[in-house]
Formats: sequence, structure tokens, C-alpha cells
Amino acid sequence: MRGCTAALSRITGEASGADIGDTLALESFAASAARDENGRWPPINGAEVVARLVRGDKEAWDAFVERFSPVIYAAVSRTLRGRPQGEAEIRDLTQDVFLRLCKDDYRLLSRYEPKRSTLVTWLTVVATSTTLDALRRKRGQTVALDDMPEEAAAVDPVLPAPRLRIPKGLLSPRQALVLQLVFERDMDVAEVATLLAVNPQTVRSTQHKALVKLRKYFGEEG
Amino acid sequence: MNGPPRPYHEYGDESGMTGQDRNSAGDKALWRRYRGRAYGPEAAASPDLELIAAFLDGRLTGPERAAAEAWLAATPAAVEVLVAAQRARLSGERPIVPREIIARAQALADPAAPQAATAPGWRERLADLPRLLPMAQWAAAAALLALACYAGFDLGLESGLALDDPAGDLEIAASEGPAFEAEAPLDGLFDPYGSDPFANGETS
Repeated sequence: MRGCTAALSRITGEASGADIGDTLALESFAASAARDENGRWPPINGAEVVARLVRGDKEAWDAFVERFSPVIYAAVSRTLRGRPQGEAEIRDLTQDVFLRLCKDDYRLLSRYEPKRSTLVTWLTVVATSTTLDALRRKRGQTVALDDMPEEAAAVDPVLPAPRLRIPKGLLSPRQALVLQLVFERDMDVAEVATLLAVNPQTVRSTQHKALVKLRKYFGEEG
Repeated sequence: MNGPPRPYHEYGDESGMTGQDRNSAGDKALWRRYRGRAYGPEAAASPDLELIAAFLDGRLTGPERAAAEAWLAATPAAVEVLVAAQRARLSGERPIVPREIIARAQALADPAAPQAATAPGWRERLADLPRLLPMAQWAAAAALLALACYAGFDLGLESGLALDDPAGDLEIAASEGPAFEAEAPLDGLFDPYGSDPFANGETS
């Protein structure tokens, strides 16, 4: 694995390989790893940061970790909230995110596009995705029948009803997305409106129209 | 369906929806009954993290956003990431991260990476091939010459022996040692009585 070392416990203190011309800018980025007197981070240029990291600059990496670990840690712990995972799981997943960012010569990090999103948002998405992947993998692991609670191992006597097909084009993409957000992700109207950057009334209207279409098509009672 | 849907102003509260219509169990069940077949082949696709981040930051143009919504509607895994990331963003939490986690993450960066980054990759090496080709040719010629010398020497040695001793007896004799030494133990082996009946000069 290039770009990262597998020796997780080893803490290196070597100087960076940056050339003299980079020193000043590098120092300013390293200094940005410290908050100001109000506890706020100074602004940084995401593209510049990533460019340095992709070049394998150890000092830039240290500053990057110092500054963005709260973002990643918060995203991981927020995604795990309500699940039985503990502090150790949050620590391991935070480490997994950093590992994912730097492995294979910072392949993932080099995909960051500063014009499309802020570094904080992009890192939040990466951390969330990594955590959800881990949860999915965990769910996929088999559990011995003896270790499983009795109620979990019990067979549901009710057979699932056969699913019908929603014809293509019955719902607009936005209608399908709104129903998905509301009914599957348990978001309220205000949350959906913020996410889709629309008026809450638009969300209500979209949801209502979608439900009317579904009821009408499948002959359900309103 | 019993008659046309009611207009919004007829709904119960200021939100425009009755309790039944607002995330009601019936609506949820209705959606869940049918949504399983609503997803297309994109459902299994891995989420495009850059697109999700751009969507969250509102940096997509109108058509891009519409296309992203269509993609999201067909990709539940992407919606899952989108919603979780949105909730993490809005929470605004910035916890104090334990130093141990920071130190471990900082240790991930390989100090050899700058050298590795400046070392020529396979593309650069391929680009250097024309420059390296004459050297490779000389090396190959030298190796061929050495091989030819060795083969010639070996062949010469074998053919020299063959000329001196066409039957190859000389070589066999040399490997077995002097013939007279081999005879002595044989005498004893083929003497069942342990003595030579002719030793006393008896004659029949």
C-alpha cells in the first residue's frame, strides 16, 4: 500500500520532503491546524491542501489530520448513533477513514473536487459512507445460531405479501425521492426541504401528489 | 380511490397535511409495499461521493440537480449516505478527538511517500525506453558472448576427450581408480573357503 504505512502504532516524526519554495506556504497550512483565540479554525484552501497531501507531504498530512479529525470523528459517531457500537468502534472507523483517504498514493483524496464541494462536506460524506459500508459488512457476517437471541432466530409465521411493481414514469424522480426520504429515512418535511433546497410546502405537495398517484394506480383507499 | 384528492386548503392544519397524511402508517405501508420494485439497476451501484457532496453543498446547476435527484431516487445506498451526511453536517458537532486517534492517523502517512512520488513510475520508465535501449543491447550482446564462450569451452573439452579415447574407457577408468586395487578384495569375496586351494602349490 503506497502513501500509507500499515504500521498503525508507529508514530513518525520525520521532516517533510517539501522543497524550500513550499516552506512558507507549508508553514502557514501547518499553522492552520491551530484554532484562533475564539476557537475557530482559520480558512484554508481545500485544493491547496489536497495538492500537498497528494504529493506525499508528511507535515501537511499531520496538519490535515489535526484539523479535520473532529469532522471525521463527528460524522462517524453521528452515523453510529442509536446503534450498539461503542467508543472503540468509533475510533477504529475514524482510523479506517484516514486509511481510506491516504492509501494507494492518496487515490481517494485526489478525487476531491474543490469546485463542487467544500472539503468539510466531502470529508463528511466519505466518513459517512465508510461507516455505512462497515455496518453493511457487519450485517453480512453470519452469526452462530447459539449466539443469536431466541426472538431473532424465530421464523416469522406471516408470509410477506407479494410486491407489485411501480410502473416506470408513474412517479417523477423527485416524488420517488421525497417518499423515500420521508418513509424510509424517517425525515420530516423540514429536513427534506433543507436537503432538497426547496420550500417545505413544495415537499408536502410533492409527497401528496405522489401518494395520490400510488393510491389511484393500485386502487387503494385514500 | 374514492373521488379526487382534496385540495391542500381543505387539510386540517397549517402544514397543509392531516395527521393521516403526514408520514402516516398507512402511507408508509403503501410506499413500502411497492417501492421494492421501483428501483432500477442503479440500486446496486456504489454511491458517487463527489456528487453527493456537491448536492449537499448546493453547487449543482438546475439540470445537474434534476439528474442527481433522478439518480438518488434510483439508488437507495446513495440516499442513505446523503441523509446520514446531511444529519452529521447539520448537527454541527465538533468533538474533541482523543490524541491517540490523531497520533495513529498521523502515523499512517508513509515518510517514504515523497520519494516514492518522485521515483519514476512505469509510464516514465516506458518513456525512457528509447534511451535505455542501446544499453540493453550492449548488455544482451555481452551476455550472448559469455554464453558462447562457455559453450565453446565445454564443447571443446568433451570433443578432446572423445578424440583421445573414442570408447570412453579412459574416462571410466579414471573415475574408478587403478584396476589393480579393485582385484584384491574380489579375491576374498569369491573364496568360499577363506583360502586359496592353490596356495600350497598342490596340483591335481
